[in-house]
Amino acid sequence: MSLPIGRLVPYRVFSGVENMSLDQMLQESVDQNQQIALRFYGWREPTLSFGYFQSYQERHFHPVSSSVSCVRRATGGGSLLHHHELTYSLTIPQTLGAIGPRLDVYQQVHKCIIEALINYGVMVKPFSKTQNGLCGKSNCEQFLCFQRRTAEDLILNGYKVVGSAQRKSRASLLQHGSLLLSSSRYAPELPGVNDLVAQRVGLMEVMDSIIEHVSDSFQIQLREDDFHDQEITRAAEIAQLRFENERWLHRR
Amino acid sequence: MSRDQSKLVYASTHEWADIQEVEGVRYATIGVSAFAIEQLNDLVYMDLPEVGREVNAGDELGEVESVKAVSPLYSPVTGEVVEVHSELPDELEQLNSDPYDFGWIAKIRLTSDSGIENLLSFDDYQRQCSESA
Repeated sequence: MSLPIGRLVPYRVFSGVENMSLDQMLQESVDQNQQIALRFYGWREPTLSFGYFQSYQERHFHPVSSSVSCVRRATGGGSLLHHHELTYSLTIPQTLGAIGPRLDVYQQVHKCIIEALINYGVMVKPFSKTQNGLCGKSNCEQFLCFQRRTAEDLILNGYKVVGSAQRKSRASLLQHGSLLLSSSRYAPELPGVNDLVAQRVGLMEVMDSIIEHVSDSFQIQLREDDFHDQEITRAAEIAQLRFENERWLHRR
Repeated sequence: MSRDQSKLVYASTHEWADIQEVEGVRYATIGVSAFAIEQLNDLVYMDLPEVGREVNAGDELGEVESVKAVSPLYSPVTGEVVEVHSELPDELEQLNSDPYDFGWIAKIRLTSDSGIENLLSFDDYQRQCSESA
């Protein structure tokens, strides 16, 4: 029996505004065509992304990143400093009556990342299964998302190295997240996987492994399909309306 | 006086509406059902609609965040937003215990084609919830 086809958008590097606009454009596509879309991407320059409800004023709490460009995400959570990381977005169809966060999707995607990292002998685990997590010591007050802890965040040697966030629409769920590979000079307090273990985790290699695990886990056959011209045009419209707009960035 | 949830009508997207008529004008007070509040799981933020905004049934009316997930709230009816519960976003913890009274979100003055005929009765809504649980 053949598996349903999912779309795999090949890894490319864009600006923060472009990345957020492309993720929203993909979500609009999935709303229409109901086909799972997986995408990996990098960031043209170090970028600080704010959570949808986060106050821009909080930026002053983190002076070391004050010179980097900013974008506000459409997803929740705290700020991320995107620099030496692998970022993914997965958009899946869902029914209209579904409400609330999809914890199962956090768990399912993070399990794929756990399994991909095991290939390198790197053992990350969900915060809920760490000592502090078992004690219920979550923390959602910090400015940087990677200093916060929720149950599904992935932890290595006490440090968060994978975090994800979601956005629901009428007919789909967008989840994007970051695997922190190494520390940035703009957030030196956050070590990445390669700062914490002896083995070197390569970006493209770990991405290929995650793709295989997502394909198995979601029971889909992923077909590579890069952005089309009209999609790039639509993403540029979204950027203009939302992500590159100063009012959007300073909305809170 | 507390609202009787069995007398309310519901959208399949989990918003409730309490329809009242005052001096010949119909209003819907709306909120989010207890089932949805439980599914939303630890709400931390809520955006309310602006007073004066005209909405169609099914339009996005506001947004909420829980566990790093942003979800839209939909208007169950068509009309004009005439009042919002401005204290609610600062007291979201009270939604869990009181979704049908303290948890009201907005009051909407209904137009003639308000869309309320498309809403579910309490029993039908309960059935939808039990099927999706």
